[in-house]
Amino acid sequence: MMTETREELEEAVRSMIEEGRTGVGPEPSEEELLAYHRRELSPSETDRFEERLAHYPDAARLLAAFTSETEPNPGDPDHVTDDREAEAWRKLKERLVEPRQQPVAAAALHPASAEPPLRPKPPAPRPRIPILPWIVRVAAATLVLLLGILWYSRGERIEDLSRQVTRLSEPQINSEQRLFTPEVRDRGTAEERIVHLPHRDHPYVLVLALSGASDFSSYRLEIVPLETPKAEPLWMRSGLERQPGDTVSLVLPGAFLPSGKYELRLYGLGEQSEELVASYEVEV
Amino acid sequence: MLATSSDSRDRESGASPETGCGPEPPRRTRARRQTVEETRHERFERLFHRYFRKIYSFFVRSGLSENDAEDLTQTVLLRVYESMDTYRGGDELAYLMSITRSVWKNELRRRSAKKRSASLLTLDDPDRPIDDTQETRLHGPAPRSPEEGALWQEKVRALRRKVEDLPPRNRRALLLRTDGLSYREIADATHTTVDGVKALLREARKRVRDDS
Repeated sequence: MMTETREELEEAVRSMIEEGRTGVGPEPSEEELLAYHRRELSPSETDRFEERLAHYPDAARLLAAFTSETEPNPGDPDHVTDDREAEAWRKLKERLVEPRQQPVAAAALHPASAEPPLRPKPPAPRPRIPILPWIVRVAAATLVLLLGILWYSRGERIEDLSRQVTRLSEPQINSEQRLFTPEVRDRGTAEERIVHLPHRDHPYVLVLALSGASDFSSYRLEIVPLETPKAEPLWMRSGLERQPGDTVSLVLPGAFLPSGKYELRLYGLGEQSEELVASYEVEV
Repeated sequence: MLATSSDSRDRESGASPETGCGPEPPRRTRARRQTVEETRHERFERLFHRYFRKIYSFFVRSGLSENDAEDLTQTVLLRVYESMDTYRGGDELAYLMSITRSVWKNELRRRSAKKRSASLLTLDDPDRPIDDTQETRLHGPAPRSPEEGALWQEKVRALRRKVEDLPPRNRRALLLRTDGLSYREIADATHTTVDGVKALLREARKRVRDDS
């Protein structure tokens, strides 16, 4: 009959534990330990966890220490009397009174200790001025200011548009008229052919004379920016009719066109074709 | 458990918004701070009395002397005290266990760095094997000769095969017991009783010793 010594058995078990850990998984966390203790695992999970726990005796000891419902017997080394606990509290409380100044070395509690005990890490000093709330307040005030500026600007713009609409809705007096005639197109230099329109709040009345031009049933008027090559018309309107006096007129709001050069193009619209009847350069 | 509870002492001290008018003078601010610290103290004192013995038991059972165990217990509780303000709730027990484990691992590393064994020490526990020593646990008995060393290794391998063939519950109890846990610890950790643990170990040893 084979006999074994305690040392042989311990060696066998130790090697099993060390090698078996790769198969059972990592050391259980506190949450896993408590889930097992509280019987929150299924039967198969419980079986697997118990196999795992057997390979981590420290974890098993931790669980046992914190969840045991029985007190150690007076002869047990981990037995604590009420007096000893009260004394331990008194010593700990002294360290709590002045936690920032000088942590009492644990060696002072037990001068006979064979080894110097661990010193608790001194806590970080608290800032005297609460900086974070001030940063939050400044950021909030800045945000409110920005929103206020945006809102005010928006309000201003609405007011401006409202003024324009009001102005256009009211009878216009002394609106500046500009007459576009063939003679304007035929001026000597290119510069002389350009019609200048100072940028202003009040509208212009642009009158395009069609005398001498072919008669079409309807016309299309376009305003095309000249400074952008192959630009699309900025504005166009079809279905215009020749007015008495052989004219086509346009009320152009003074602020409609940004500064720049434009071309007024008037097309006569036939049934199946269109013809450029007149074009004028305008500079705002 | 660690969340702030209403503090009647705060109201009794008169440091409440209802009684004051206008900004608090500095001495009332100091009084209020002192009252808040007392509340923290009271919470911590409850934690201390709830967990001191458990933490102490863990360190003693892990092999430390009573003095070293008490020192480490204080270290754990100081860490708890310092982190109370940042504790965001959750399982209080898991929180305490986590700090305890962390302190223990630091202690093991410190001792290992001093070239001491981190395994269990002898305890005056009637449950524990009597002749455990650190050297025996780590290195086995000093080899007498190459032949004896080889024989010893063969015995260990054979034992290991037998232990592996044990029923799971018997094997697990034997693993935990051989690594130093008491009957009570094994019972507390594995949903069994002390008598149940003893029965499992008796059966396990019988099977291992039988030359079948």
